[in-house]
Amino acid sequence: MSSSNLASPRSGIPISGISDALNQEWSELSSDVEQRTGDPPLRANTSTLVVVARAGSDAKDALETVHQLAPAVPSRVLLFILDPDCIIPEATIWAHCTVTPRGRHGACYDVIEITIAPDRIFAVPNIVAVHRLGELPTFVVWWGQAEISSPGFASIAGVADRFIVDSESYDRPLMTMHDYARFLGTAGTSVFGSDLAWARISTWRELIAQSFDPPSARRYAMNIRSVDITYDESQASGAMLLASWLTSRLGLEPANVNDNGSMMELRAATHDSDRRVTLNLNHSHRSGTGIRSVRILARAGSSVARISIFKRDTGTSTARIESPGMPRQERVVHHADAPRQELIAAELMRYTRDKIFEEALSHAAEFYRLLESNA
Amino acid sequence: MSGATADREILEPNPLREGLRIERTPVPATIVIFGASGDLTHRKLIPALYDLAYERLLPAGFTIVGFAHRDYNDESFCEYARDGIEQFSRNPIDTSIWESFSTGIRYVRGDFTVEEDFEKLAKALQSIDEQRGTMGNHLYYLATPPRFYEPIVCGLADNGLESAGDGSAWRRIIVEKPFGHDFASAHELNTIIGNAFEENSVYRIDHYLGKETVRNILAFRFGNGIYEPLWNRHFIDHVQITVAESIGIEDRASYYERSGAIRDMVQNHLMQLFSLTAMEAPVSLDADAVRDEKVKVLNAVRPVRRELVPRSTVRAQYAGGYVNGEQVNGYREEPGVDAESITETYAALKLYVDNWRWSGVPFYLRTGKRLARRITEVAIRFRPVPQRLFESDPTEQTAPNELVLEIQPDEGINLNFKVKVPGPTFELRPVNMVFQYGTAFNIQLPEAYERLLLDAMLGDRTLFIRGDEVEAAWKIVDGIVEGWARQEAHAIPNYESGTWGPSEADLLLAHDGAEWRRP
Repeated sequence: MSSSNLASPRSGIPISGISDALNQEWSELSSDVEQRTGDPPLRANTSTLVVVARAGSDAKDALETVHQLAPAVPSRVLLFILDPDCIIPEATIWAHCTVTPRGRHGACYDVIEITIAPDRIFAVPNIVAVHRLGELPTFVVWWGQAEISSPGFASIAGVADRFIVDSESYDRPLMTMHDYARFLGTAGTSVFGSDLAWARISTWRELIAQSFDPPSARRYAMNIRSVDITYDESQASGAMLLASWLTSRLGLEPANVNDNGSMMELRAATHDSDRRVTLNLNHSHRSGTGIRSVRILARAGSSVARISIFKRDTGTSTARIESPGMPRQERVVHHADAPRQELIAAELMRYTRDKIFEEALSHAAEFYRLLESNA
Repeated sequence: MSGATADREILEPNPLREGLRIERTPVPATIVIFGASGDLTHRKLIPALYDLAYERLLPAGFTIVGFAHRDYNDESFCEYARDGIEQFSRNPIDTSIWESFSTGIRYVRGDFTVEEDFEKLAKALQSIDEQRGTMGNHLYYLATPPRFYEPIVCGLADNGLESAGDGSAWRRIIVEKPFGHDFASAHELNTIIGNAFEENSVYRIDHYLGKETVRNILAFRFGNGIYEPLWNRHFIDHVQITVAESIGIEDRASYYERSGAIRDMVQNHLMQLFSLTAMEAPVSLDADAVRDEKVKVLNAVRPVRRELVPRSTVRAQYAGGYVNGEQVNGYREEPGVDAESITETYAALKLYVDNWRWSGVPFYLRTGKRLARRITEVAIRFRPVPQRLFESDPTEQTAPNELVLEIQPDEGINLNFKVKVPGPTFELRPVNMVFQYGTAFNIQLPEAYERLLLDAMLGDRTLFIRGDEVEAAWKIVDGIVEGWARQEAHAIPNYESGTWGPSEADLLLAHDGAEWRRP
């Protein structure tokens, strides 16, 4: 929506004064909006979004992103900045309404930025309890790297209905996924987890699944023999999640992992070893390109099907299916890398447990464990 | 006939599908658009198909075959399609996506009444099935004037195109409204189509049903616990359904002169909104479960007998006036309209539903052209409080609670209730609690045609109208049309363009102590 924002930050507010300041801010903004559009602003909230980030570039990045995100998914955003130099916690608040060129107002939302010292992280749940929006879902995004096994991380998780991390932003993404799987497993069923790395591969999953939609191709799904995924380090956890998603959906169990530096070979099999699949994660030397291609070979009896999906630099992918008795089918589809605010927005649309992600994460964690034990 | 084997195969789960945004993509198929050179194809169908392709919702091998009389070939039809996409698609033209999409665009020049042209079409489809792997799955779209429906259906059947024979593939047909011009013609059309296609292969399209907010009526009613207990004669005084347009008939005089507001809007859009509002809860969201309930409530509508027509309905025609500050002509001054025309451009009616839920509750339906503003809404007016506690409250009797489901232009839900005005006196004032979709979900919604085309390819009939539903709606309308035919022509009042309709329509409600909303 093309729009102009009506916003005026108010800063230096003590934690106890946030509610009053917010009310005052909304009162003033309502008058502004009414003056410009003839109507008071409409607020329809869908969720509370809690973002935790370290002071510095993480916090700057997070603040910029939530301001891009909030108009699309109007919510209350509580941004906690962990600043070692902070002595007295204080808040800055923004109340926003977008006004369209037709003079109508669109989405309204507010952002409460709170700076606290890292050792005060245990105060966050109480602040969230005061300012969250009623019974609406609360999402927590931990920006940048966090020590997932730390008590602070666990205390923040306590306020979340859904917890979102980005394992790609960690120095050791595969280990992070392993820790995250363990955390979600012990956090109880009340916290649902997600990973932006998972959101990034949604189009890949969709394109692979579509390849097996035609009735003529369906029988090949459970007869996949090998998968080749080419990726670079910017999407290491995405590549692992993609492979793990395939193994979990195909009813296989992680069996072995070998890493020779340029390629990680994952082996998976059914419990009775009736079906075995090899998944090769090939490191690409082109950096910053993410996952570049997926090739799948399936064999049903004497029939062999080949599925290939290649990502182009132009924000599209070519998906190709070759199977006996059918003409080669190829199509080009939209496949752009979504910016982080769109990935988070997509996650905020989902309120329920993502069982498929959790199963894939569990397989990824098991592959990591096998890798470590082989090392 | 419908490719039952093919449907069974489709329904076997794909293990990789769970958790993705849709349960499956359509199987490779060809859509044949009859009337491919027309406005609907150019403005809606082709752009919707491109948007589906862009959003990765179409399968590889998907093919469009345009069939029309105009002198196009594959290349020039492709250019025509591209022009439509550039002008009307939600997504931009991406060169590589367009190149891939356009490899599946074909054109067959033909006449809808010429047997040989259908033979030509059959050969083209056979060739496409072999070359592009569409496996004999065909979706036929009748984007033509209704007079061609019969020859097209017969042409398809005569050439074996209505069925894959061995059930290895599906054949479906989408029929655009109007579905007949009265009960008899609708029944005849259903019979003609039914002779070639099974009912579960027939997709009667009313694009209103593809709108997110129309579908949301079901979600609102049956996904919330608080409204359904109030949704009956004990709490609801009456219901008003309005489909108002500010535009005139534009260049559709020849069609409109024959249809009028009652056939153009009441029989379809208004009846759909009415049935979704009044129906009982379906046992599931399965297509037939939903449509069974819609048919039941249409069949429960008390017939408007001829003698009751003057008291239960109003028809009118727009005169000149001002709309959006511009002076506009009256209906009879519009190009192509008979100077003595008695075609109604406005219709209002009062219906009763004879069942336990709605006994005694009037449903007021109105539609018109050149009204004050474009709006579609369903307004539920609740009964007033049983006792006047606040004697000083002038609004107590005149402004009972109201729940308004806004369909367009601003999709949302408004609840009107009263609050105390701050101060020493006990003065009440009505206020609105407003929810607008755009303020909660600020995302681009797909066009209705995208959703409906995708559903037709997937074989989901929920948002399409079943044959008996069409006939039930016509039964209601036919009684009214017959009554009008017996009235003197001069009985058609005028209303000034840019207003909310004729004063006679106000009297329709005034007799019941109600009044139209001024939305």
